[in-house]
Amino acid sequence: MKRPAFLFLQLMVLFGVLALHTACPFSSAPSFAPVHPMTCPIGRSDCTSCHGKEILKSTGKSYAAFNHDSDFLANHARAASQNTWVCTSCHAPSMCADCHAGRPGVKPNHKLGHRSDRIMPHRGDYITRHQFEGKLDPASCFMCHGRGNDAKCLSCHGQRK
Amino acid sequence: MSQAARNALLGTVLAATSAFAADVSFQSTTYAQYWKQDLLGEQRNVVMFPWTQFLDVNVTKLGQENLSFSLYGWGRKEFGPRSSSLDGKKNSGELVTAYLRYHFNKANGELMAGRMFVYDCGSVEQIDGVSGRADLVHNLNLSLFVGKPSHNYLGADKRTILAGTRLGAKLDNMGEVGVSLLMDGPTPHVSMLDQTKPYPSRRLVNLDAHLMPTPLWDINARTSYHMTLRELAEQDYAVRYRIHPSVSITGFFLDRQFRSYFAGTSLPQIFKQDIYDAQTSWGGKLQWGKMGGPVEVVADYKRSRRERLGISDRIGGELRFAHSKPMNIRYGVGYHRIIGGPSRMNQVALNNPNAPFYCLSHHELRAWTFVDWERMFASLDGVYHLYDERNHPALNHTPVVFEGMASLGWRPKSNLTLSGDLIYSSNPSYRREFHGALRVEYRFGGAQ
Repeated sequence: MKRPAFLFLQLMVLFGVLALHTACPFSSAPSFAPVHPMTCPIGRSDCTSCHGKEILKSTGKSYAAFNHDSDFLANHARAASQNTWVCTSCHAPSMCADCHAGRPGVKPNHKLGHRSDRIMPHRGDYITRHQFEGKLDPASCFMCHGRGNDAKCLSCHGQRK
Repeated sequence: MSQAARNALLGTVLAATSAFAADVSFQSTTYAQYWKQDLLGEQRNVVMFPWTQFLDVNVTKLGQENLSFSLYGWGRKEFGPRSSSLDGKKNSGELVTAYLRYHFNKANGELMAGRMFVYDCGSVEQIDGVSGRADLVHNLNLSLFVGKPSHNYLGADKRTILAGTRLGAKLDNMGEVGVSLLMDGPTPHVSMLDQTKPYPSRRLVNLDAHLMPTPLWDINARTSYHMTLRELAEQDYAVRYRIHPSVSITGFFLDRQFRSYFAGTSLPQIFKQDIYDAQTSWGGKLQWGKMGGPVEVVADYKRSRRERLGISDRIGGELRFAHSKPMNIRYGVGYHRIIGGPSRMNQVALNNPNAPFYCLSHHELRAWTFVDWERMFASLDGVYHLYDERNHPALNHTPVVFEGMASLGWRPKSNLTLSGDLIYSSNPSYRREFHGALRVEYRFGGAQ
């Protein structure tokens, strides 16, 4: 797409947003609490232990949708993309960066090495194993690493000739 | 802007914001490592002493009740050989996020400006820019962001601008559906994916849904369509059914066309992917165990098919136990069998019809425990992998991977935690690898 077409598309999006806002003004419903009023106990969070079968109004979903069971942990990106403010009411914004920052500083499985219960995926000699797992199931790698890079990786995974 | 100037600016901003702040909290994590690697095929050992300092600052009620400032970053000093080749520098650092946020008391509205992550337009991106979101009437919500991708790594296919918008609709007590548009600007150079021609920028239209039509069903779906390449870049669907309050079954389907999925990524990929490859995965998971209960059992199966590399299967399960009395103790064990069809070593071999095939099948075993008792905590973790094909070149005739880890921690005060790790491993890359670490975590204010 050429630059004028791209600019036109951006203007159309902006116009659409303004038109939408004119037709649909902001909701008057109070915002979700920025900080959860109670500290949750250590371990996997069970929202329904206090909230039962209620609906979390600002999301349209039941509290059970945010229970931190195995399924939720494996697919937490789904909740984060639709309802980030629910995550940040309990978790510091920087928590995501422990694993998902382009440059996290220390490998997550080392930084959180004292939390064996959190099942960090790269325990052990992952340098060897990634050669296998990358071939067997690359989608699981891309979810986190599709947009990260370093010089060491490029020594093997450099540009295609 | 130079690193020194950026640090000075940040310091000034931080000091100024603190002066107006009613509530300042921060968390500091100091992580010192001792790392000794006995490389296969070399006579010498490599010993490294990296020291990494993390800082997470949050300032709320910044002059106004609803204005806040967040900053998170790290710096590393090496007291030995370089431990990371992330940027080719011996000492390094990173400003991960630094943004001002204004949240509104109504409509879950917020405005953010600075360096931040954006999540809600079909991609996770780190940008220097602005973003905003708000709930609208009629159960609609709208989010927008525009900015410049934050990074410029070696070989990065960096874009000049990245913008996205999402319109969501809450369905009464059923969940939410959304449509989003993600666009990036013209690429300044040819793509690392294909050097022969500029690669199309991202023009992705995404549909996402998380629906719970009844408490028994949980449906997730995400579809991305690349407008320029005119093909589906990604399809990701999962359905979960709760057979019983403590038993659920999940099925999923995932499909990614690499050419569209990677188109115009603002940061480079670490993988030398064949852009004409594609992957399809499907599988399921059976979970038994009440949330917060003492036992959880998970059995899972996944089949992946790559057009260029064939089929692989992963099947196994995990047992988790948790008790809170007399102390908080959790432990578990997991086993998976990976059955991989024969594959050629790499992209070069892939294009050579005479290159040998190797089997990728292996066993994975893991056992762990974590104990938290008053001011102390401790953990043990063991990982064991056994590969079928000893002659695989990547294994250096060492088909066994083992790692054992022990950790001990102490909380002398509620906001101070000291812990240390010892890790020993043996694997195809290193005859022996020893890793020790000390961790000091300090929280001030209401840090989460």
